[in-house]
Amino acid sequence: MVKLGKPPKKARFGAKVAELFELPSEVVLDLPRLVLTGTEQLLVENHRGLLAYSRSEICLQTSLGVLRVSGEELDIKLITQDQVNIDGRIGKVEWDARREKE
Amino acid sequence: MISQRISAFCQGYLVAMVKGARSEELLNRGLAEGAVFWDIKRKAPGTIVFKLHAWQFSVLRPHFYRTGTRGKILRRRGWPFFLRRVWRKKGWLLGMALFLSLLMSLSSFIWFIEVSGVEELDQSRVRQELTTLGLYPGVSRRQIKQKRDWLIRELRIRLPEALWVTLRIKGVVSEVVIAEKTAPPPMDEVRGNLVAAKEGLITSILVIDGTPLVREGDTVSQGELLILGETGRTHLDGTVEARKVKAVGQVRARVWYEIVIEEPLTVLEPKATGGYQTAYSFRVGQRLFPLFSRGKVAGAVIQDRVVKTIIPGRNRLSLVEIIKDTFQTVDWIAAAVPPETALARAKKKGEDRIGSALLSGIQPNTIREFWEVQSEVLHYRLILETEEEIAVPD
Repeated sequence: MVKLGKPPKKARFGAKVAELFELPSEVVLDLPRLVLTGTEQLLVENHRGLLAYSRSEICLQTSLGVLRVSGEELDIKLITQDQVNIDGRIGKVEWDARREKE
Repeated sequence: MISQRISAFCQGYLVAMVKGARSEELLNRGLAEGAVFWDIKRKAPGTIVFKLHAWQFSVLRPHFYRTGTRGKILRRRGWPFFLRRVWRKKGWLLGMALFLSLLMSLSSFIWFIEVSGVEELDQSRVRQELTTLGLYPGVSRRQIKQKRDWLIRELRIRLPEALWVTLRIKGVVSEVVIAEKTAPPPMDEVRGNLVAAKEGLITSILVIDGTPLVREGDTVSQGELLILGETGRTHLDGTVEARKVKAVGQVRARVWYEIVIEEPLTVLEPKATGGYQTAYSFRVGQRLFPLFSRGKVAGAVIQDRVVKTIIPGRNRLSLVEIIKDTFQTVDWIAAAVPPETALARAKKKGEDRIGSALLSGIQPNTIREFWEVQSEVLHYRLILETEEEIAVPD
C-alpha cells in the first residue's frame, strides 16, 4: 500500500474550499485527473511531464508524485502540455511513494 | 482526436525520430514550448518515433544539443507538402488537369440511350425516331435537357402505340421509358347461330339468347340449325323489329355411335421347314455394312432382328449398331379360328375403340352388341348411346 503522506496545510484548506463551493478539485487544487476506459485507454490531465517511456511502462510526473502505468504494447497516442492519452493493454496504474516537494 | 488529425493534415506534419538516452526530456522541453506530439512509439531502446506539426520542429532544434539527442525527419505529410510535391511535378499536374477537363467535357454528352418498357413495339424503330428527333449518342446533354418536353411530346405523336413516354437523363445515359397501349380484347361476333354437331334426338333445350328452331323430341341431323341468332321485338304499333344477336343456349340430345369389327375365322400361320440363316451387319449412321452370314434360305421366310447399339449418338447419323438378322424358311398353313376365340378378340378390340369413338368426359348410357358369321368372317357391332351437348356455333 503506497502512503502518499498527509497533504500540506494549504492543500487541506483548498480542499475544504472546493468542497464548500462545489468546485472541481482538480482545478482548485491543481490535481491530476485520470480517466481509465477499460484496460485499453488512459487519459491523464494536468500532468507535469514525461519521465520515462517504454512499451511496458510509462512514468508521468504529476503534482501528487510519479504516476506509473504498467502494461503491454503501451503507446502514447497524444501528448500536450496538459494531457496524455495512453493506449495499449494497461495492467497497473500506481502512484510512486515519493511526493513532489511543494 | 479527429479534429486534431484533420488540423494536422491541413497544416502539415512531420514523422520524426529522436535517438538518445534523454529522449523523454526532449519531449518535455518541447511540451513546455507548446509543442504537441502524437502517435509516439518506442521503436528501440533510446529511439522514439513521433509525429508533430511541421512548424513545431524548429522549436525542438535547440533542445537536441542540450539533451544530447539526435533528431531526424522521416516523412513530411499533409496538404502543404502534398501541394509542394505536386507543384514540382509539372507534367503530372498537366496530365491531371487534362484528364479532369476531358472527363468534364465528355460527361457533358450523352453516350448511351436505353429504351425500356417496350414489348410489342420494335426497339430499333424507337431508336430511329429518337435519332430523327435529335437524341443520339454524342449529343450534348444541355441540348437534350432544354428540349426534353418537346422530345417527349414528339415521340408520343410519332409512336401512336405508346400510351405514355418519359425521358430521364442520368449522367451520360439517357433513359427512355415507354408504356405501350394495351389493345382491348377482340369483341365477340355480334351475330351467330347454334347448329347441331351430331345427329341425335333432342332431350332438353335451354335458350339464353336467340330463337329456338327445334323442340324436345325432335330428331336433328348434323349441321341442322338449332337456335337462330335473331330476336324479335314487337312495338306498340304492332310492327316487329328483328335484332341480330349471338345465339346462346344448350341443346342436349341422345346420340348413337356404331363400332364395327370384322374377325376372320381362318388365318394363315407360318410353320418352320428347317431352313435357317443368320446374317450380321454393322451400321454407322445411315450406311449399312454386311459383315458375315451363316446358312442359306430360299422361298418364304420369316425374319427376326436383334440390334445392339454401340454408340447411341446425339442424332441418327452418328448412330453405331451391330444388327443380327435371323431368317427361317416357313410354309404358310391355313388354320381355323374357333368362333369363341374370334368373338373374344373382337370384343377386346371393341372395348379399345370405345375410348377413341367418344369425346373425353362422355360416358355411354347403354352399350348394345350384335354379332353374326358370314362367309368365314365374324361381324361384330357395338351400338353406344350417350346423352350430350350437341349445339355448336356455325
